[in-house]
Amino acid sequence: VKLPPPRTLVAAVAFTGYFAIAFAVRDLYPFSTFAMYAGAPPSRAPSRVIARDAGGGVHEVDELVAWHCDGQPPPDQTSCLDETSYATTTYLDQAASDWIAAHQGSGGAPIDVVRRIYRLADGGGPPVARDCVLRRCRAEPR
Amino acid sequence: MTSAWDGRSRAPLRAGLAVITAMDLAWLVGELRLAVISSAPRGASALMLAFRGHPWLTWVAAGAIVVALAAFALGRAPLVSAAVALAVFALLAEGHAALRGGPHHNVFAVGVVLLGWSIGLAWGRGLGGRAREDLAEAGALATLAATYVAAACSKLAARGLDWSDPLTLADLLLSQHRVSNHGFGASLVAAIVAHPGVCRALAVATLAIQLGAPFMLAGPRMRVVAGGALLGFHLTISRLVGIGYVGNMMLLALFCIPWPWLFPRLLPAVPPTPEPEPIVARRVAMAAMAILVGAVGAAWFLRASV
Repeated sequence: VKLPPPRTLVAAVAFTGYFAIAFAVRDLYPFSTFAMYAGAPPSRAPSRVIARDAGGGVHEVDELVAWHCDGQPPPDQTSCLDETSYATTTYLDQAASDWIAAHQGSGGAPIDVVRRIYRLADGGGPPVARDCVLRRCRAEPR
Repeated sequence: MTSAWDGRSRAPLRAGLAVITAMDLAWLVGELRLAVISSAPRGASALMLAFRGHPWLTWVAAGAIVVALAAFALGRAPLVSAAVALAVFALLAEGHAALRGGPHHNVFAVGVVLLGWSIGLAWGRGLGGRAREDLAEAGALATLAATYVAAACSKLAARGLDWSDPLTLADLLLSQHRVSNHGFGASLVAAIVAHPGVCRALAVATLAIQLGAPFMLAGPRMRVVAGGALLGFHLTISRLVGIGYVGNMMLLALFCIPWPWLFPRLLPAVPPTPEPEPIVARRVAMAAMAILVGAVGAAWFLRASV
């Protein structure tokens, strides 16, 4: 039996090996099945932790520094209890919380750290957004 | 299986891979410095405790990777230097994952391509070549393609074709979109989210583009098409939600744009590599198959025993 050229064999072995090992170990650098957006059923009420200034303008938390708050923002669904069921993205919420912790300072203009909850309708159309305040803070632009 | 680089030195591919890895390393070091003060997660693995207790470990590891990458870029002991860079980078990435409670997949591509490149180099050594970079290129592209197919298969295995449900993309866009982006990206997100048909079409396109990644191995023209589609996919995601897989995008541009066709005079010509004796090729192929079966078997055994 004549073997395929070495390049074809290398590609086949590298592809098969990576694929098979990735599905065995799931996440062990550099192997991964990249399943981060695969499994969780989608929500009709996704949410995000963001910053809102006194004028109602919204910003990402990492666009502000010198944070001075009345406590760390709660990173999970222990907040916004008046809202009906909504979904969170844990690592993004944690990243926002970490940013505030790592960029503490003497503050600046008043800023609310809020959870923005989007409600999607069945038949499409723009989502309805509602904010619930997590912490009252002061911060300044980066 | 041909390449636009056939007959030309692949040193720019090697050097480009080293530079892109160094750029991802800089990002990872910055993230590690932030992660060591993070309150999450609650557990305490040995790796997490090591990085949290000894922040200088990050700098020592980063220094070792830079030295290894410099040697790799210059073609000095490329197999050993690639292995050292990959192993130490893996230590940093796993340390970061332990501190953060999960991996950041945007730094995986450089490790994946270094792994594939090393597989090709090792295969070439077996065939008697000192640096068969044509095989390294094939291995690198194959492992990179495997990541996209794995991503698509994960989606299909978890939810089947329901993954292309319009709600999937709407949820993803709203939970990831940067709210302060008031420009074209924001208008696009608003338009997509409001139209379930568009969401479904984009979700189906995502699966098709990811499953089409192996076409990068089907010759230089198909590489441009499949790699271009993947590059467009990453650019769209970056524009819409700010998830920038910069390493992936740069690697796709490096490997899939036929640079030797665009700049033929800039790249030195090299003589074609003589094909090995069939008996040697067969022996190396058999050894590679044995290693493959052993590695996959060990990985699945590890999974079953954990």
